[in-house]
Amino acid sequence: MKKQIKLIGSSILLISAMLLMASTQQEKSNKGNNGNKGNKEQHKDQGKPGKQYNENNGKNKSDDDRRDDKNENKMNKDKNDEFGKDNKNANNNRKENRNWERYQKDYALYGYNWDRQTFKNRKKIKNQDKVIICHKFNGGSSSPVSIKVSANAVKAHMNHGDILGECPVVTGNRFSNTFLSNRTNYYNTLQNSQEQVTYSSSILDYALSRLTNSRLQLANMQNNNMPLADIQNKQAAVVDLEQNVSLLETLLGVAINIVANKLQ
Amino acid sequence: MNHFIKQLALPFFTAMLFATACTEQKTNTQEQTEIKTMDSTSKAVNDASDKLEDQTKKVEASLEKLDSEFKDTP
Repeated sequence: MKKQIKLIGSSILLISAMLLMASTQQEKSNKGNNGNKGNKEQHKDQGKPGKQYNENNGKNKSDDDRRDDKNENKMNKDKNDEFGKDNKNANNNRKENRNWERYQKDYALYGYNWDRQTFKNRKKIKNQDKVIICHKFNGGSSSPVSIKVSANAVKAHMNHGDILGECPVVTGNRFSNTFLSNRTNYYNTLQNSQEQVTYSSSILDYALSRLTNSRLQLANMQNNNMPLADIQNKQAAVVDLEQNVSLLETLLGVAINIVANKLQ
Repeated sequence: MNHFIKQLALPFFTAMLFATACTEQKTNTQEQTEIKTMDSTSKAVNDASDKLEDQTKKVEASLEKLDSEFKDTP
């Protein structure tokens, strides 16, 4: 009889210890995955305005292409994992692909390559419709979050495995609604700021190229004995742009340092 | 036998209840900390973004001025 009681007692103690350990372990892993995970990683090009956020300006094309291929494969694999199990899900997958093709067609002018003509229409180009995507984090270690992104930024997100539409609802989530709502707002704020950084970076690149051209033209005009008043007006315009560009560079560096990698 | 089981059951369930309450409390504290961190980061991000937006508008205005001054040149 005593043996039986000892056996039951030790079983109960063992089970409670295992339960306690399991819950502690889960908490640790959740803590590591939530919120500011991206702070740990530093971007190679951090602090170089215009280089880090080149998702829209078409630089490093060969690298981008390779990365695109790799990421597309990954994206397709993720999609297949998630949607390819039955016919209904396969239909959803095809529908999503069609949606994506439509977006690619509609927004063929992907990115910001400014010239005088496109610059005039910059507001229209910048203020594209917002698209809801399910944003996944690196390696899928943290739970995904639904965010609204500009149509200009959809491709960049799709390239690292995000999917169109809202994230599937997770049942049995242990986080409170307040926390989840704050988390969604937080990542939407980050996304908006990142879009602003991308846009400002492209404007900075365009302004720098215009400055170079304008200085050359100004030098030519001075050599061709153009009226002094005209030259002075043009010089004033160049100086004004120089000053504003200089401040923009500084602010862009600050913003990149704050926003960098938080959405990775 | 029943007596011993009753004796064991009470401390066991008390211990389980205590452990659950502690875990819940810890989760709430973690959530609050995370929310505070997110709020302060959001504020910093918004400030930087607003300044950037204002300065970008100034650069755009300067570019328009440049366009009007160098209208005839490519």
